[in-house]
Amino acid sequence: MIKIENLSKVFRTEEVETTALNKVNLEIKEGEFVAIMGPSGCGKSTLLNILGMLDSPTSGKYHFYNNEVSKLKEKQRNKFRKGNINFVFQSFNLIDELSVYKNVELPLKYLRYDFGKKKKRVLEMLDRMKIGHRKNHYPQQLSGGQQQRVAIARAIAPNPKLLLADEPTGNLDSKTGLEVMNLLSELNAEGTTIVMVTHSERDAEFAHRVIRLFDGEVTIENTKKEFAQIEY
Amino acid sequence: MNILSRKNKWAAINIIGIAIAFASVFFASSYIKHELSFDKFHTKAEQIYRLNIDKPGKVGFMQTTDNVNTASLNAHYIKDLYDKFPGVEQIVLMVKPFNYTLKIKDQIYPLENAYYTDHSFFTLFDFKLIQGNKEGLFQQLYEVVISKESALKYFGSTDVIGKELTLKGEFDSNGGTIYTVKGVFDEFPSNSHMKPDVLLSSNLETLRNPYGHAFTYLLLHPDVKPDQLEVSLNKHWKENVAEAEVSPTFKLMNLREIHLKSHKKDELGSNGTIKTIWVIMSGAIIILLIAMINYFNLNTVQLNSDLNNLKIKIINGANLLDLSLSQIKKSSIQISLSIIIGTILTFIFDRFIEFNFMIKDEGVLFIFLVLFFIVLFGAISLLPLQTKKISSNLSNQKEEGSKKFIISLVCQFTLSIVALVLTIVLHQQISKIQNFHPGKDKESIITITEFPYAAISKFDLFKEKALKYPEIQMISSTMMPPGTTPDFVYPFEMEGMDKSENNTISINSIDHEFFKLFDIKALAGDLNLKSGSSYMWESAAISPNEESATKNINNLDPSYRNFKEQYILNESASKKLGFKNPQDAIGKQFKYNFISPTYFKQGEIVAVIKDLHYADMFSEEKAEVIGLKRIFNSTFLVKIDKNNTSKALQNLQETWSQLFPDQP
Ligand SMILES: Nc1ncnc2c1ncn2[C@@H]1O[C@H](COP(=O)(O)OP(=O)(O)OP(=O)(O)O)[C@@H](O)[C@H]1O
Ligand SMILES: [Mg+2]
Repeated sequence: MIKIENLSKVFRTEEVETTALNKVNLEIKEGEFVAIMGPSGCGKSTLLNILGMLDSPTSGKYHFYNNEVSKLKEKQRNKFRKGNINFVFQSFNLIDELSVYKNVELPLKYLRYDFGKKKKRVLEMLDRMKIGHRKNHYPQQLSGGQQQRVAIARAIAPNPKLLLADEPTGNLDSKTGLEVMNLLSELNAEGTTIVMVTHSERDAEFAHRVIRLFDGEVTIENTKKEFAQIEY
Repeated sequence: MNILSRKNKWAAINIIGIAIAFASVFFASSYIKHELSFDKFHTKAEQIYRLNIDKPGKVGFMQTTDNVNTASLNAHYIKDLYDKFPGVEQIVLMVKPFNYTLKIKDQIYPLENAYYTDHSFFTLFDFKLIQGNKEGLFQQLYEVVISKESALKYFGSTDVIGKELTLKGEFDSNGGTIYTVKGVFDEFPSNSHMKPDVLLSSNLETLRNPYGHAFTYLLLHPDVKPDQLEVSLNKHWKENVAEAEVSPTFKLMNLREIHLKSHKKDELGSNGTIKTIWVIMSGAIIILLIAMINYFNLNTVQLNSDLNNLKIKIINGANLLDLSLSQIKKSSIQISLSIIIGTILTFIFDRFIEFNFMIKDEGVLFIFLVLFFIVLFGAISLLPLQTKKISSNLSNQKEEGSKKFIISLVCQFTLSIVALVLTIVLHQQISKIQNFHPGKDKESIITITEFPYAAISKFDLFKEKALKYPEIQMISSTMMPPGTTPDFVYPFEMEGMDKSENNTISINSIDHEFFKLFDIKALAGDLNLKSGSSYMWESAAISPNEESATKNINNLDPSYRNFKEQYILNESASKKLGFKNPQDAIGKQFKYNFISPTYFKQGEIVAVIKDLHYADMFSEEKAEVIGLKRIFNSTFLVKIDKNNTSKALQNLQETWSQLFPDQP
């Protein structure tokens, strides 16, 4: 599904040049659940943004379903992303002015779902995330866990092939975090490919595979089994 | 309404800004449209010209340079038009009756906006009769056609065909002349330079009475070039008619241009100026620009604070079109609100300014402007969205927009200053006119004009009787109703000035309480004037023959001769006479060389006042000497108790009708 070759990302500001990713090679298969770990500032979010086509690499190749997308223009990337890829963030990223229902409806609206189909899907997602009774509330009226469930509901509403999660449990207590991880596992079991950045070893255990980044380079790739054997 | 509540203050300021811009643009464009539309409604407008005289010189015994610079012409200027100039297809003359009253049953009214004319008037100009028939109108004398408004005023109905009214001149010894109502016309549109109320039938011979002045309208054959006709008129006049006098220049002015371009003394209505149009237009444009820049800034700021949400939307699949649509949705609420407020403001403004034209008739313009504003401000609300290119900067925003923001701030700042200066200038002009324009905006001062000359002799008596009522506080008199410029321009002699220079200056006359009545303060000198010459003395002195005048004066009781001549200068006059400082003029000897040489004695300049701003906003103020004389004072000014207006008016009316029973 995803194949990355020698992918680099350099940020240039007026004063400094930061190499966030340095010649990363990576392959992710459909249906996988991959965790990305590593110290702060090692380029995890940068990698995730490039995978999600929110950003383009400085050099290297990115094949998405065998399409080379790294050189694509903004507009074309958007098209690829739309309906195929969605995100869950640490900070939930809900729109405060919109109700829970409207937030979840957002991607469907942009995919021009017709009204009935849209409503059915939104309610289905909300029920699925056990947040249906809160559909008319605004994000600020919800707890962190509830907000993240709304964010996940929104992310999976268009039924994306790839779900990218950047520290989805980062702002949650461990019990709520666990609930969220269970939800993600369920989604993965139903076929959604998931790439998740995390700092939590426990969360990483839900993944099939862990990719460790250090200073923009992939240092270790573990399968779940290997991972289980390594002692820390 | 969430959208509004978020950036409340900013949005409110902008909504009001756009509302003001809308009101200004709406107002300005309807004003300009109105000003430019004058007299275009006449089907023959293109071919109708008014004959005027420009740059007149000395005519007859009149020394004045002003008197002939009028919109109406003396008949001897036009007598050859009829047979010598073939391109002239029709000539319509309108003559204003002077000092007439109108009697209907037992009620007497002043005769206003009335003109003698003949049947050709009805074929030349377009207007609608709501009663009567244009055919056969004014083929006979003593017919009258009145406006709907007058019909209601005089008869309480428009069904007045066959009713009679009596026209009585000041010197009519009989009961006056009876006219029969033959028609009622709908009011002339507000964009007509003439708005007659009463049209009286006459015939060509009478209209061409050499003593009268006629407004002269010509219908030219489409092939006739007005400039050529002008040239041949002038040539003809010089070769065949001109006496030894300086000849006038004939000018033809198209009917549609009269309102904006003609500023004669006796226009048929108050005309506009092109300058005013420019000022109003630039004002509106600047206000619009400021609102536009403001709105752009608001949207930039809002976009910045909204960036996170926009990002979320993009991540969830929104493209630029989606974002634009939601932005338009948001801004259309703001713009609609602005337009509603703006419309309300326009109506308030219209009330306040009273530019008697009807904004409510401007439906098409309104719809056009609404659409224009929606498109314009809608586009502006999208601008930051485009320039920011948020979508390509998903991970890295900031910067970029800020430069534009600063540029627009600078623009706005500059424009604000321009607007401020403009406002100050306009405000100064308007307030100047309102403050100094005597009699305007001062409810407590009543102006009485259009009364018989005989009343002038009874001024003292009138004053004495009226002042017995406590509600009537002060009475004064002057030559012309405030707001009109006096006509006399004669040479003068001035202490310290070379006599041979032969300069002229215009004169106005007032009675000694005039300045007190208007609460006008002196720039220099003292306005506590002594009462001037008596009516007796003035009647004796007013003769072009110096000898007989002197004899008359010497026959008077010495007490009548015992007054000092006092002169007051306005600021322009003081400058014209060469005084840098108004103070320097005080105490100088001055003599005004009127046609009656004895009438203005040599006297002292006692005060200098500010220009009274009789003139309109843009014309030069006239240098003017003011003397204390009464025989020409055909305007009485009465100051009444503001808090007791009705009683004062009643008392005034009573006094007036006791003294002058035939005059309303
Ligand atoms: N837009 C940007 N402009 C300049 N430098 C950037 C930008 N985004 C990230 N960086 C730099 O790139 C490096 C990688 O950043 P990234 O956000 O990927 O780290 P991270 O691994 O996600 O860290 P954390 O665990 O703290 O979230 C950092 O040194 C960061 O300062
Ligand atoms: Mg990160």
